[in-house]
Amino acid sequence: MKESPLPIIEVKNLSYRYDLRKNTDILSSVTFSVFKGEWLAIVGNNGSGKSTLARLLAGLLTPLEGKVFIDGIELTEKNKWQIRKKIGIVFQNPDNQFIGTTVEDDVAFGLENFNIPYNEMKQRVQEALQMVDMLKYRKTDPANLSGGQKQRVAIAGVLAVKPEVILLDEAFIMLDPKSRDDMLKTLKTLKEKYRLTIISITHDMNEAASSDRMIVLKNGKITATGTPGEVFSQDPELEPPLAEKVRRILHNKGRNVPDHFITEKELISWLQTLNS
Amino acid sequence: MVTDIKFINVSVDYRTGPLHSKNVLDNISLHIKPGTFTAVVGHTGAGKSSLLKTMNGLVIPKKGMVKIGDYSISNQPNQSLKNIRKRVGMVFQFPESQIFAETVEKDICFGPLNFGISPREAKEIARRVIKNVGLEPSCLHKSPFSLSGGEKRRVAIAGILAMNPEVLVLDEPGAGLDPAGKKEILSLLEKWNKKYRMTTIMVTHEMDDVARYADDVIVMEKGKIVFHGDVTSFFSDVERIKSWKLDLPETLKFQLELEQQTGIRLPEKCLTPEKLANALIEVGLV
Repeated sequence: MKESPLPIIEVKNLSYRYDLRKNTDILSSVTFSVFKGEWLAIVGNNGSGKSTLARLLAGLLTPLEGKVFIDGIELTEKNKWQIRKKIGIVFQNPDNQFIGTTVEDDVAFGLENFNIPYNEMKQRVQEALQMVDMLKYRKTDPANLSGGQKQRVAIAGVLAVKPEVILLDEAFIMLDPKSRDDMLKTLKTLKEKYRLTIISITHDMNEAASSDRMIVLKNGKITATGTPGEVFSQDPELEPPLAEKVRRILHNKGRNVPDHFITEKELISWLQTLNS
Repeated sequence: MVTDIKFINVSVDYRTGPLHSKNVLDNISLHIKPGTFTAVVGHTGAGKSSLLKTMNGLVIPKKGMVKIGDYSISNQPNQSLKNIRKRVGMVFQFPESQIFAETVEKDICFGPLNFGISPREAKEIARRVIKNVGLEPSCLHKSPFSLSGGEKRRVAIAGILAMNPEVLVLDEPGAGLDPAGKKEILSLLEKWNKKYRMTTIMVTHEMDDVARYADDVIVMEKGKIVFHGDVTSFFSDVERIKSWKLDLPETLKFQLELEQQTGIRLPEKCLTPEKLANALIEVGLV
């Protein structure tokens, strides 16, 4: 992946506190950048400040201290409506963000808010539904869809606005493993095709391991950042994905294994070379 | 006291009005051995939650009989369910949503007080069970609503343990928690099951949890039990698991992928990373 010199998102010294009477920050002095076209995974336990960070990035909360720049422009109370064209959020439970009575109405809602002309809107809704393979359901009531289908529609609603960044806040947690895999594959393809930037807040270490870069949040602070290989080797508390677990067990048993982080694919091909 | 559970030709439906609905439990017979940890799996609507509710007398069988140790539930008027409910502790899905009292202590004491235990004794029980779920006694005087999601769930489970049940029945106890929080709760269940031989029955969708914690597995399909046996025999037939439209544990999925791509055959079905590593050593690969 080639990174452009200017980050699409820059977060500088961001702090936030829900209860101003207390001295504990939910986020304290968080600084990082996100580059165009990368898939950034943000991991951390419940209460580490992940969801607060997502809300700050989308301008749903106003920072106590620090600044957020999106595509070079500082996010403020005044321009947040304009900036939201550039960043779309998908939440955990798609049921919480449906308003339309049909799938296509729902996808059109965001565009209506931005006063997009009717003909263009029609076309964009169609395109967005095609991208997530839900076009044949465009006249369906979202209430009659399965969890995975609903989440696809929610993602189409975000794609229709043509944002540069998609922010997923544990967007796959309600899905069964099969729909989760399908959704990830779809997004990976879209990301490559349209050079989307994806920020994914997740508990799924396999998903995080397949990202371009990871950030670990603990008690409101960034404790590690880097490629999945670097992060999983740095942070012993982070439960690694299966292949790395197996590698570490073999390593501890004194077996001759590669001395660095390994993905499932790499483990299989390494075993294959041993076998031949 | 180690308690077993028997279902003898049990059928259940939710018919309350004139409309006839099909049986949610359809002529089920089963025996859950005392002190075992059983996972109940199956598709949505297969009857898993109804099976649990029948064990606790929340749903009364239309036909047949449920036996919890020496006590039984059947379709008779005027039967006392109190003895059953004292012995079978039920933890619903997202149990933290049932927390209501202004302190953790009051919430935990609610059940014991209802079963006629004195307030002093109930408070002692609360001190004991709060430690059992891995929380500090100092949190007894906090508001439950100031706790994190995982802590709240542990308080809710403590409230059930406070009634000192012989059987613990749980509907997806790990759902919605982060990996660390889920592991903590399931390890606690495993510990009580082994230490106190508390018969434990858990509904779950996560096959990795089945592989890791359960002794026995019950598979349900359309109100019937299509499989009841130990974990090893459950995972031995991959095609059969797929035919029930169930997922496979991560390690087993990886093993199948590896065997398919490389032609390597491992001696057994590996359900944990440790077993997988050992199997790789055993076949002389690494």
